[in-house]
Amino acid sequence: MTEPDAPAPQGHNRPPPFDAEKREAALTRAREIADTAGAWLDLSQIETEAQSQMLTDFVAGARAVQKEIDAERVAQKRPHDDAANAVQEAYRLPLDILKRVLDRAKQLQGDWLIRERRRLEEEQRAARIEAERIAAEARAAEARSIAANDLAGLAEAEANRAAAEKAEKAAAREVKAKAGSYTGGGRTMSLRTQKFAEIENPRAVFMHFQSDPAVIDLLQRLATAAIRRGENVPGAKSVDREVAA
Amino acid sequence: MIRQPTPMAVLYAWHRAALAGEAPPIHEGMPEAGWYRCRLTKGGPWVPVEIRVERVICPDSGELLEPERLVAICDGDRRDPARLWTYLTPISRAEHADLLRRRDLIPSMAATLAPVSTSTLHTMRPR
Repeated sequence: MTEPDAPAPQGHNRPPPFDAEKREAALTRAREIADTAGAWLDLSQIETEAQSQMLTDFVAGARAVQKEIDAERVAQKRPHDDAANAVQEAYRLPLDILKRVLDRAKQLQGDWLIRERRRLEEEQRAARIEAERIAAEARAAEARSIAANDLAGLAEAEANRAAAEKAEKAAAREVKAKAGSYTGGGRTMSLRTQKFAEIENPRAVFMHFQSDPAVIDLLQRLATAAIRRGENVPGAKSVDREVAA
Repeated sequence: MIRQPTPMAVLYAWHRAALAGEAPPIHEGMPEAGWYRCRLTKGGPWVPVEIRVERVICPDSGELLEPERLVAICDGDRRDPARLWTYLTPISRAEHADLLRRRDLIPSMAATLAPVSTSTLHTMRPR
């Protein structure tokens, strides 16, 4: 048994997000209208003009109830929307500031990494040239030792050739510029190559994507809007569809 | 048995080769003298480690009086280098000295057994 002065548990003062009674009332009304609609659907088709007129009134009534219930929904949702918008607006500025900070910091780092990569590539190129030179010298010395039957020279030349091969292998390794963490806690940054498309020939690009469902959808929307404005769209024709409204 | 101390050039040959990018082999349980860094926990700060040789040399003959042994100085503590070996990354002596100084300048690097809280790194300013 709880003590009379004990504080209420955390989260007790949290009302439900919507008015449950109003929602039940809306559900009851919707179910009643569904029952009535069942009676209409039991007729497989409308036979007389009178039935058609009565159906018109039924649809008008159902629409009116739909409009009322939707207005109730909007009213119940408004405080939550207002609160969500207020939170978004409150956090917009600090997040915007941090985004600008990170964009500029990444630009600074990117500039450094590009220069560092150029420097490493230049060093690698010089090392490769040097390794090739040493390898050529080693091969020449080996050939001379073989020709002169100089065993000591041959052993030395073979050792030099092995060292030259090692140097060539090191010079062929891929270089990557990285920015490590000063403390060990930050994630290492490096350059990432992102590919973008630069359209040189829009028609050719369109032909490539013409079967894509997203392109077909877009064309459908554009053509329907143009035809409704009275324009003539080559490759499309105006089709009339009848719907009760 | 007469034993000559291992020359410094030989002792630090592996470390020199590693810094030169030659990728010398790493064998578990067979540490090499030099300067290194490691983390003591995942996401933790860099910790400077020095593996050096300790030996007793006769002042008259210059010979070893005891076998040489490697010892690791990690975060100020003496440790068995064989246990740390595979977690170490070789760095230059200068970088090792800088890492020792860095720990005094940056408070978040003092807790070596806890991950560095990235929420405190935003105060890092250029030096």
